[in-house]
Formats: sequence, C-alpha cells, structure tokens
Amino acid sequence: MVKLRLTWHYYKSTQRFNLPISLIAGLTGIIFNPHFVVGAIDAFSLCLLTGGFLLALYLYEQRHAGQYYFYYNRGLSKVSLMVASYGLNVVLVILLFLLKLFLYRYV
Amino acid sequence: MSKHRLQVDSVRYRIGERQLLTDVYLSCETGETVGLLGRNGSGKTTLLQIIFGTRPTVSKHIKINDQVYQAPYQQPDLLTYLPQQGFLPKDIPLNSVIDLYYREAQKRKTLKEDERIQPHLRKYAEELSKGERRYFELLLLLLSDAKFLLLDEPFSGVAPLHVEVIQELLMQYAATKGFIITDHDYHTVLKISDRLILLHEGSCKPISHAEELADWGYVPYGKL
Repeated sequence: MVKLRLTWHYYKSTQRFNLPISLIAGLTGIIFNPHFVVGAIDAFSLCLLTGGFLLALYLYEQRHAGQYYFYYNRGLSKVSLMVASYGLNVVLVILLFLLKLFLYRYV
Repeated sequence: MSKHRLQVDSVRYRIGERQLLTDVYLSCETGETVGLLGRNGSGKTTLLQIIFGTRPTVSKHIKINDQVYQAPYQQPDLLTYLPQQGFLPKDIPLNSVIDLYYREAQKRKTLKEDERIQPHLRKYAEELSKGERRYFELLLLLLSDAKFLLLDEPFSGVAPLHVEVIQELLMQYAATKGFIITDHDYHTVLKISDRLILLHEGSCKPISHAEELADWGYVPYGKL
C-alpha cells in the first residue's frame, strides 16, 4: 500500500512536467486535423507516451534527482517507478482512445 | 536480541582511468557504529551507494546475515541510506511526508509528536534549516525496521547545536541498529564511532588509534 502511494506520488511529480508539454502538443494537433478534438487527443496521447514522458523524466532528474532516495528507502527502484508511470500514462491514453471512439460514433 | 551482520567485500569501482575503489572490505553489526573517513573524492559516497545498491559496479559482494544481495535497498527492512543532499519531496508538507512514508499509526504518531518536529509539520522541507531537516530525515529513517543505516555526511552544514541533537538521536538507536557514518566533521565521528575505517587510495584501512589518521595523512599532526 505504501509503495502504491509512493508510486502515485512520483507519477504526479513527473506529470507536472509531462502534462503541460503534452497539452501544448495537443493544441498544435488541432491545426493538423479537421476534427479538432480528435487531433488534440491524438497529439496529446502521442506526446504523453513519447517526448513528453522522456522530457519529464529528464527534467525530474535535473531538478529532483535527490528525491529518488525517498523512494529507494522504501524499496522502490528508479526503473519500477518509471515503468509504473508509463503504465499509468498508457491507461490514460486508452481512456482517451475510448473517448475518441465515442466521439467518432456519436458526434 | 539477535545480531545482524552486514559484510561488504570485493568492491571495485573505476571512473575512467582512475581505480577509485580496489577490493574494499567492510563490515558492520547491529549495535555498532562504524565511522568511515576519507579525503574528498576518496570514494566514500560511492562506496555507500554501492552498498545500498543504487550504484552499479563491476564487482561487489554484499552480504547481510550471510545472504548475498545485489540491490539490498529493494529488500524490506535491510538498510536505508541518508544521502548528502536532502531527499524529501519538496511539494508536500512534512505532515504529508510522514503519512506518505509510513502506514503504521504508531510511527506516524512518534514523528508527529516529536517536540522538534511538531512545530514544523505544516512546513515544507525547504523551509527548514539544514539542522532541522537533517533531524527530520534521520528520524524518518530511524523509525523504519531497517537493520542498517548508511549515513552520508549527516553533520555537514549543520549548526553545532543541531549536531549535538543529531548525535543524541543516533545514540538512542545505536543499540538496535548498525550505522556506517561518513562525515568530514571527524571529531564528531570519532566521538560516536565504535570503530574507525579510513578509505585511502581505494581500500579500507582499519584505524585502531586516532593518531593513525595523521600517519595516513588524513589530518595534520597535532590536530586530534
């Protein structure tokens, strides 16, 4: 339970970098897709799982590298934190994909 | 209470062309405080991180109670590490740090009711003085069930008043835990250590008399 809560805390910390970057990417996605919501979702999702995620990890490493010891001391490795964060992003993207399907079908 | 034993053997570490650590051997038992001294750049922090398991190296042999571990920090209740720089999250107050770190009500209570921590519970780690932060970090780690604590410069940059407080805190737990302490405040390290080791030219030299530190060139003669 403690490990789950710590992983969630790490995820939120990295999302502080990833979300703004991916939102900007989402806004630019509007330009390239006539269905602007779908374009935004595609660009946002792609960035969330690729460049935004990598950049978030890099920025976290630059600004909060010492904080990894907070998690290490509770038995969490850096790799496990990163994999879990990526997994949560995948879940988020799947939800957005379902939203996209809904929009295609009903809107 | 049964003793636990940490044994570190065959640690080698190279940075570029420089062999920083050469077949290091080190041991510590619960109830023992081992002072690890050495000049800047001698590899003290590197050694502690290798023991903890977060710094990979070509060769190491870490045994706790005769069981070999590659990354001891990933096993519950073995060891914890106090890094030189703070490790507390900066985005939540101490109150939330405690709740996040411990599920056990008793440990939360002990931390929150500690007279030195209580006034700062709503503050963020960055709002504390170095000594206050060090005290909090240390108590957070001491309350864990880990048998061994690796303390990397716990007194560095800390005001003398807080050095004494931290020293007293360590003494309270000294009977049940094993400490490996490295710090440039060697007077304090000498005072609290049961055993001294000098990391010199990549290997550990057991120190039986404080004067040997001068012989090895760690301190000038007449300074002890």
